[in-house]
Amino acid sequence: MALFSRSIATAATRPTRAAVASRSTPINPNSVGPFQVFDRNAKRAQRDRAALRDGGHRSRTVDYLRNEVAENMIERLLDVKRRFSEIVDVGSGPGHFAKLLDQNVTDKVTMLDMSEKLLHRDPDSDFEVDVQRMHADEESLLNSLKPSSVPAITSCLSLHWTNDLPGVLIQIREALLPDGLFLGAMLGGDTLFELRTSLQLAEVEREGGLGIRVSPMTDTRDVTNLLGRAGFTLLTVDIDEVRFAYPSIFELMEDLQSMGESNAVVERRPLIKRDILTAASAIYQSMHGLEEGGIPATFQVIYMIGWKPDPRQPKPLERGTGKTNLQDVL
Amino acid sequence: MLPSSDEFAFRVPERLAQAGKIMTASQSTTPLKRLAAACTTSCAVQAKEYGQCILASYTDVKRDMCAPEFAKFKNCVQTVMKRKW
Repeated sequence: MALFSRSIATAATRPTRAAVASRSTPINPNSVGPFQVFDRNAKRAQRDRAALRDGGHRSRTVDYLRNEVAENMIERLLDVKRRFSEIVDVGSGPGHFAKLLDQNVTDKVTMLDMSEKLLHRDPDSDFEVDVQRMHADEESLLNSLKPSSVPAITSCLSLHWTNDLPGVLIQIREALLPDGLFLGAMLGGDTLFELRTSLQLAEVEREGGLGIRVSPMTDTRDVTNLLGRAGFTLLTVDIDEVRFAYPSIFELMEDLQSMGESNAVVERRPLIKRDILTAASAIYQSMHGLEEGGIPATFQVIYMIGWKPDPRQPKPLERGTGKTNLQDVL
Repeated sequence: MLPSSDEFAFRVPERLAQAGKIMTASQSTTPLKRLAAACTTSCAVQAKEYGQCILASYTDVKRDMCAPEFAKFKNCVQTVMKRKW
């Protein structure tokens, strides 16, 4: 998901700052390793800035998306008939998910996020269980968590900014105790397709080319394969769509910015020209506008549940051990 | 073409529901907010014309395909904003 890194108003007055784009690691075309799609330093800065705006007030007004997803995650967690001694919430932000946990589920939650400001946005009194905060990068999870040490790991809308999703999933599986639970939600699929297409059409028509404004998304069909490849068993993956209505593209982009969800693609253009924004707002309204006024924005959420393998888990029987002839049944 | 809007239930973020209508150009403060008001309310007619022009052939968009419509739209926005770019 994406946004321009700074509002055009600010960019116009401070052009030198707008031109600075940092990179997590230098991009070397000859290097072997995960391809760097996202600028993690920029993402951290965006999340920090979002948490600080108006003393955290701006950030709290846009909690609606993550709160909604966190509630859906809790429903899925309550289906698991088990109490966990500890839960680690990876990419927790201010704790949208952690706040919904109570004594029936766990004693203690550890929130882990790369944005220190967002991590400490809300006081401990907002949480029903003991809360610990760990300032760390979820891309190198095993630097902060010991292997086979956590009974459950969750993640609420943060994995869509990781460069190496398979690697992060493997690290999560490593950090889990045997028979440990991973419950995650990430944005993917058709998320923000209206914004993506409007900006693309505006840029093509006005300038004859286009830049990356909205992140490439994980295909929903690939997630099961990724979880399997990372060594999880008993997989459950499902997809849900959350749609919000906004008055116009401007409010949508402002909210995305306040969520810390501005564009952080490495090859992003640092700002959006006034003409493009003007054109995109008209295109968005014409192509996707609602009859009752305003525009919709779609967020496609992929929910995933996986377990670390353990000999005690139920398994399918060996081939050929069946004793009932199917012909008798059918 | 696109999923029709009545297939889905929409939620309006609380912040925006409370704010009600979009502010008009004179009430808004920051330049970006004034641009937003100009694009969506003051010049809604010209915006719609430009949007319809794109919509008419959005599968095969070419550069400056809707240049006359955009020029009118931009002219209106600049008049409302009282500045040129």
